[in-house]
Amino acid sequence: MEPSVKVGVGMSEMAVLQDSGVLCSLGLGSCVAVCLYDLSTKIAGMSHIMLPDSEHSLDPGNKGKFADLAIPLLISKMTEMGADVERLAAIIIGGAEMFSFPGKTNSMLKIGERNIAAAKEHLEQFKIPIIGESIAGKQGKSVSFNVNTGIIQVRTLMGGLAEFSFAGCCDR
Amino acid sequence: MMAADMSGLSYLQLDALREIGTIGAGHAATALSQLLHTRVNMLVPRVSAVPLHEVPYLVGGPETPVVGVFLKLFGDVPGNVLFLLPKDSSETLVDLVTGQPVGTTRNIDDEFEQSVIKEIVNILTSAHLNALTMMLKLVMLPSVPALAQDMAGALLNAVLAEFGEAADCAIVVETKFSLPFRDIIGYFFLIPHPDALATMMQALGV
Repeated sequence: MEPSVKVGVGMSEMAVLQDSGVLCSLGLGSCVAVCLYDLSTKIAGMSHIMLPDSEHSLDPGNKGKFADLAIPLLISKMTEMGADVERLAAIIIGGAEMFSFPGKTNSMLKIGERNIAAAKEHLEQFKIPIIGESIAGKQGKSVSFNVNTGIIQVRTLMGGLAEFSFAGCCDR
Repeated sequence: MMAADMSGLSYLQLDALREIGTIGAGHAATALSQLLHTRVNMLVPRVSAVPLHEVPYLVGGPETPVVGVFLKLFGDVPGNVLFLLPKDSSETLVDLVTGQPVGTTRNIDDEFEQSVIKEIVNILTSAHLNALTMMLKLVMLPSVPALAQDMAGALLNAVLAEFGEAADCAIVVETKFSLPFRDIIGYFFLIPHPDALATMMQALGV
């Protein structure tokens, strides 16, 4: 068996692994990491989404950037490997507001909130339940997703923040 | 070839951006030098078209603890300015500006320290923009500064996301300042809106 492979999923990237390895997204701010897992085949996917939708994009070349394109693409990559969309569950992390200007809010600074809403909306379209979330707030987060155990750890600069497990909650 | 292809900019244009960055950063370094009564070294700015997911690696990786000051640009060249200081550099900077022995400031949690940092970045940014305004004859107005301290990747997310809609890579003008015998490094990111780039190039005639 190979020693644990660690795959970094940067802004606008996505990755899928099966059986073993670790998927991680470091330094999530307004971005949202969507983690999907099929417990019975141990197929895990992570997408590091930057923006809610591609509608106003001049060139939606990189589908991984946008929630509306990234989520269907991640699901299809996972089903190609043998995952069943009926068995997928999701955990979402990120969508913070890192900067706040005194006395005003504009749509750009609400990007975290909009990313969260879009991620939820597109997961709902595939009827994928969200079994855990560590979202919003003002803190940057890093996520690591153990593909073998289905355990997700979230940490901030201050240390560990939360732990989620896909095990035992995917009986659909 | 890669960089030029990805951004759609020619080498001449990237060179012109580097020149703009150098002049702007030179003015900012002069301002910092006068503020601190010490010599400030400035590295020739790196101007590059960087794929979005690689930008955090310019400052030591997505999890590097930094203090970031963010200003929006209005006027003829809309864009964003993000000034990132590694955490220890920001603390040293506060000590130097306020005349305390280096090592006194241990965090940037209080309003006082935050306000010192914001003010310095304001001065640096204004010096930088003034140089560009004079050279390009274009109006560039900065917003009030917003400060946050967290992982570098997290702060860059928010700033890059806005332009992610239009492009897969950011044109980053990255300037490093350093002071002799003091470890202060600052990264100045000037991220023009993709449309604003054309305006700048036109003004330069390239």
